Amino acid sequence: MSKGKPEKNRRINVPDEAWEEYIIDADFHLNLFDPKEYLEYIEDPRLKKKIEVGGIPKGVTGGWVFPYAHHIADSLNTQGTALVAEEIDGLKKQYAIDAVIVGPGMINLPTARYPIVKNAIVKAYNDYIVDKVIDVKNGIYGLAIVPQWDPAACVEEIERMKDEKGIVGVQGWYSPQTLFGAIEYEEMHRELVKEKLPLVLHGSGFTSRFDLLGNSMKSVVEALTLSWTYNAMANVLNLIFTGTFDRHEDLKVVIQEAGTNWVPFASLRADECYYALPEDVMLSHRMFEDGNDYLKHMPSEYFFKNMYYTTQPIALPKNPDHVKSMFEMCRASETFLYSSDWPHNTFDPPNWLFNNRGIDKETRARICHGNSKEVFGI
Amino acid sequence: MVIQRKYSEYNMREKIIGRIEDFPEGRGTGVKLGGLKIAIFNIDGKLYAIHDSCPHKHAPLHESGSNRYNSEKCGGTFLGEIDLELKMIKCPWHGLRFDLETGESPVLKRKIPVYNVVVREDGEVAVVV
Ligand code: FES
Repeated sequence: MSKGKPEKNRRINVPDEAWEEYIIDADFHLNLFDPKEYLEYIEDPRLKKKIEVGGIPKGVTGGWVFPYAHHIADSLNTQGTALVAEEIDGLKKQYAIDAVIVGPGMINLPTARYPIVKNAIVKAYNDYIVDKVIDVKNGIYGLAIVPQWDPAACVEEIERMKDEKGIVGVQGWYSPQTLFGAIEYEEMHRELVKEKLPLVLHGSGFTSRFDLLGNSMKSVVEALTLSWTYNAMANVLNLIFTGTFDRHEDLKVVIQEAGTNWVPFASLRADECYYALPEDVMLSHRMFEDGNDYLKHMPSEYFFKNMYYTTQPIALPKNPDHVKSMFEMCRASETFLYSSDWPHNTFDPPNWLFNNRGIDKETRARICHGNSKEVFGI
Repeated sequence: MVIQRKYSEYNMREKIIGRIEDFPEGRGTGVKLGGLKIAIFNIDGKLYAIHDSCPHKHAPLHESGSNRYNSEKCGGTFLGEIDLELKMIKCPWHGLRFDLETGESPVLKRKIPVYNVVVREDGEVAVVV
């Protein structure tokens, strides 16, 4: 679908073809850090007072000081600020993007303290985006946060948000904490399948200070290279090997911002290890309860049947033939969703999709919009 | 206006890209010359020309020094700043730095093209390509 003539004031080097392609950005962030923006949605006066005075509880960032790596004070929101629908609309037009899936920027919420306060913030955020951000006519969709530290509250929140127009999935975070295959999330998974909503997991917590690996790293670049990918991988493997997808065959999970190139490695290695050590998967809750001794499929199959991966930060091999092979191995045409990560410092505009002979037209169309339409039902 | 070279002879390799007032001080301006993309920076009245595509993910380098989206709402500095003293720019997307005089990036250990700029006495600006 054509967007018509490129805007005169467009800011990026995207080729004209990009303006002819319908592009959905599957990981676009609000910069909602000041609780004043959504205080009006917090009902309980006691919590309102606490949040007004103390702000959002601080989560674990691993202790990294990002401005040391960038030499600027606000090294997170390097591309700007958008808080409401009109601002998002103005912004996406500059980058040849037609639709956005908006997620919260509060990536450290899972590791923060005060669950009661956090639950109130989640509800307020969800109400705020329904009121001020989502604008389906203009291609602005949203993810409702689920308070993953409180599995029962997750189910309540899905119940509350499921019929809101433009809510196309729920947002959780893969963090160094409870993995999403845990039996505590059983009701949430059931509810998501029932409501045909994907579970969308974003990175959180740049390595834990309290595990040997995380605490031994010396630079933020080590943490960024490895930590989100391994937390993402841990969640995918956990979902698979606890039989989550055997019980909930139609559960769809989107992994945001872990990159893509680990998918062939992890899926092949999962198969290989499963060949060698298949006998104890029956001891996870679901498998045991359901009397399943083995998975219904090889582990790698779930990587492509139940999972989607957002592309940013895309790290392409230099040789286009290798790109083609990499994309085939990842089954990119079925699993990749273009994402920008706007406005963060690892921002990816969509230009890379249009200047690489390793990416054919059909694959590009699937990555730009086909897969997103499918998983988000838009 | 700094006359960067008094020039009266015809030179095939000099291509006119505009007039000095087309390149406001303290920021970058993108120009196209055939298939070439060039970013022109005016620093204290002196013009610098550098390849206008970052080797990382092809950001337009002339955007270095321009404001972020809704920047009035963002406090502090931003990634794509221009270091007037060192004559360095930072890529507006992820912050790689480039020396405007040599095209060198301290991270990449290689250069991107830079071009000589000629500002004629009548205010016309040309680059040597
Ligand atoms: S595109 Fe320039 S640093 Fe990434």
